[in-house]
Amino acid sequence: MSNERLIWGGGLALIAVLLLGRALIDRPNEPTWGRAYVRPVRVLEWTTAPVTQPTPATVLPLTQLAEPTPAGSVRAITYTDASRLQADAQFSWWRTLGLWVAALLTLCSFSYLYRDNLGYRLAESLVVGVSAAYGIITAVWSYLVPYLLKGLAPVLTAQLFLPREDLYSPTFLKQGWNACDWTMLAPLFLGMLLFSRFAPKWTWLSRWPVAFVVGTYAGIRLTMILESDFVMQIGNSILPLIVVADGRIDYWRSLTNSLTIFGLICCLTYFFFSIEHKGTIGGMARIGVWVLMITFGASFAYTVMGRITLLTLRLEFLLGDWLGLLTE
Amino acid sequence: MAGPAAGHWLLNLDRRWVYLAMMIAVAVPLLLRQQQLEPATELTLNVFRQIEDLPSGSRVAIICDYDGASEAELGPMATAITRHCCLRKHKMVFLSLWPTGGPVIDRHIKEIVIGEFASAKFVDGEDFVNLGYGLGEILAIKALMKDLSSVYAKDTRGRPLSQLPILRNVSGMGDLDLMVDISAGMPGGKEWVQVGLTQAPVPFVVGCTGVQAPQLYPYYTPPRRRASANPPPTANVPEQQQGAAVPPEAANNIPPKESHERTTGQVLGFLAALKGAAEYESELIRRYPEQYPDLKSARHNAIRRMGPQLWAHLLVIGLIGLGNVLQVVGRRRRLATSGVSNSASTS
Repeated sequence: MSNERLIWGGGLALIAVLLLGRALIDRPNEPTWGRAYVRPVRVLEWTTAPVTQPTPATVLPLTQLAEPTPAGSVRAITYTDASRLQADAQFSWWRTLGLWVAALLTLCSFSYLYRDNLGYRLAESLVVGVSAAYGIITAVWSYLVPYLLKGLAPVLTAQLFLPREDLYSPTFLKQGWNACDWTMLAPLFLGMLLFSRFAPKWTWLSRWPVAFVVGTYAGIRLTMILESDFVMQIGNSILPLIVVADGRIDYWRSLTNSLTIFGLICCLTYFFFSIEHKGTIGGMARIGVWVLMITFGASFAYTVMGRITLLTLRLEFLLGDWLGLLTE
Repeated sequence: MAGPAAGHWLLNLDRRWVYLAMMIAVAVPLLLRQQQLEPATELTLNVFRQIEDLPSGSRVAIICDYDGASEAELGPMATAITRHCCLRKHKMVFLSLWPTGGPVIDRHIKEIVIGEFASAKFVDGEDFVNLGYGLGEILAIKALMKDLSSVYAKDTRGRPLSQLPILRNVSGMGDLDLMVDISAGMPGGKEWVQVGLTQAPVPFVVGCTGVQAPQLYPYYTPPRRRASANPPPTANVPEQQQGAAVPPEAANNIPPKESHERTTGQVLGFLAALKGAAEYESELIRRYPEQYPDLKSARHNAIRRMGPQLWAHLLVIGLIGLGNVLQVVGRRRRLATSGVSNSASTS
């Protein structure tokens, strides 16, 4: 038997055993697998009257909500995830469908570890497509509509796109319904210039908005980074070599402070190229390289830890939410 | 002793076996529910103390600068910090500079503030507020420090900030008592230090992903210890690290709270990766054993995920060691073989 068949066979057999085992030990009064349950909760929404005093927003099970609805407030029913063992739990077809789609897409993503395949490409395309769509929608509703369109045509934008906008609010009335913010023409113009990249003859025009953004960011960040990453970092590096706490020498902190300063000086020496790295300077530069390597190692180890955590979460989902093996 | 064939076989092992081994190393501890309390490091304790030492009713900003991709690491952190703020009855101001941060905040409020702590009856607008997504990245940070309303005209429920009791006498983030940023990238902890703290000094702590942690270490400025510094809370409860339920009497070992002094710097404490989150959860269990008597409760996501970390790391270390041993043995064999053939050809 080839390795390929062995791996596939082993993996599928393991999954089959898990599913079968779970199905066999499943009992009516125990949590089940592959099914999603919800329970209704009543949401006490905010008041419909003009806001003068914020009202409480609570989520309570229907059974516990006996008190009358406060005047001027709205109550709505929503559904929240539940265990089948809960008294008012209801089976949810839609959430069950979502659970299975999520589980199958997770397995499709994992399948790339074996080799590239159609399932993996489907999952990857979905992630890219959904992310791009989310980004575009967010940009439209966070930047274009509330700032650009509302600035240029406030009433029309509020009527068409912003139903929650209070057209009679003091701010709106103060501005005047038809008061347009003509300064918004500047970002509109700069934004339109970006599309000149599609016309080879006018591509150079797209550099202007990019130059504006880069220049603004650089100007804003320069002074702040000088303070936070230069002045304050120097301040943080000035540490006592001998730490005295409560009248006694704190040997551990003295050691760590000394090592920090020594490591810092060695790293700086490595990047100091005006003197040839020989003798003492060469030795310190070499120690500096070691300190840098340890830093990179720690950074890589943290990354590995993060990746293992991601795997853990996915397996928690597959084994717990989907297969119901991790119930309390 | 492994022969040449065994060495050859292991050196050419299909990497998919390694993937399978890793999956087993992660899955088995999850199934066996192997979990234990994590001893808190100074980094974590500094975050804990910042929240614990604040007087009840202090205003804490919880900034959720992350999305679903970092939920595994940062979700437990945000949950534990929200829980701690609820336990201490602090007023919580939730916001995010990530477009995808809005749903994250909604979930924490729904599950923790008005879910787990329903009996505390926290009032939206008085005890907590969700400002939602703030547009503008670092420009927003710069503006927020001085004037909240320049970024947020209203909260997510459409109420003007000026009408919210929780934000009475607060013009910018600089007026809050503490800022906690849970960050997965940019804008995140680094940007809040670089741009925010240079605008207005506020006590600031960070929770970040493992990838980000090395970038944030240089900003760590531990608050200076006071003369009557608290002993580490782990010192009195060694038996709790064995995974048993926490005895209520452990609460009696908590040192008395000191009067709060506002301490500022760059990052006063930070939670690095899942380990930091697990340490924070463990600290909550130690300090509040009555609220969290069961270590194996599903609430402690970070602690549960540390079991797989142990075995996965052991596997990685074992494989690195095995690979190096095989390389060294293989090289020696090759040298020995070439030495024999050289001497044979010489003779």
